[in-house]
Amino acid sequence: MPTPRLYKTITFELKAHHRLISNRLTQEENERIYQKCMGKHGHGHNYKICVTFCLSPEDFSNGRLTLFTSQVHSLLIEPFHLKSLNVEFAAMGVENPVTTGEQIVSIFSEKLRLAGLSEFVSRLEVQETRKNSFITTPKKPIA
Amino acid sequence: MEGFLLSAEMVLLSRKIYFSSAHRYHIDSWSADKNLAVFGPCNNPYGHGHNYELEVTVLGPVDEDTGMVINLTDLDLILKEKIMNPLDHRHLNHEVAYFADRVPTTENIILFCWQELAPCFTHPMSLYKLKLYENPELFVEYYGANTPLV
Repeated sequence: MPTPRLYKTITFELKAHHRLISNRLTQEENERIYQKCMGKHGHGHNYKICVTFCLSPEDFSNGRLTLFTSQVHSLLIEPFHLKSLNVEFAAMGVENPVTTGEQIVSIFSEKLRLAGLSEFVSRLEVQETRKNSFITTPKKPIA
Repeated sequence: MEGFLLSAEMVLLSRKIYFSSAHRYHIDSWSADKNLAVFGPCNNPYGHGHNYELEVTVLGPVDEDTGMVINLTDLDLILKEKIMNPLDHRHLNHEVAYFADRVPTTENIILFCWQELAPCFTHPMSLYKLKLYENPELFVEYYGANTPLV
């Protein structure tokens, strides 16, 4: 009989600066593709980082959820809050810190996976604006 | 059941758009009494309207150069041509051929949107999910043949 699982989504707010610009593209290509999103001095968002935990019912009362929530905050929020994503991603060694929503969710997912949290997080969503969001699954793929 | 998992390089991108339309629930082959009994005030002669919110989710690999699944400018053009132009500020019963013989329920509207949008995304991209709100309290979701992400 399968173990019952509960899904709980916790939303964190991350206020950060970014500028869409790729070091693999020419100036003209960057301007054509990213338009105002590559404005010289960048811009920022109140990102919402929605983490869906997949846990056993006991984990909601034994402190495990609290521990995981704290870990996610340390991994995804504290290093970037009120900072520039371009600068911080570059400092992490990201070769092309273009800072699209797709890249942010992929990097954050990898951070959760490397911290051993992928087993407990079934869904990770980065909401850039009210109209745009990006989702991935930190779990290892089946195939 | 194990939830659907994305491969490492794949990301779901969602974009919301808003359109305002009129509709009327009515089936010509039914009697007036039966239409009224089944659809209630939604059968009123001139119809009524809603502010619809459509969330379009596209699945695809992240391009290594641009960091994008799809350029939002390109996606917005598709959504304008396929959804906004035919549906926004229209009476669905009278102005959209798809609803000539279908009741424009939220369910049928999302199927129309899927039919229009799915061919616009070709491999390695694909339309993954649509979510359509008729109002804040009522929405439908459609995945086509895809498996919902847990």
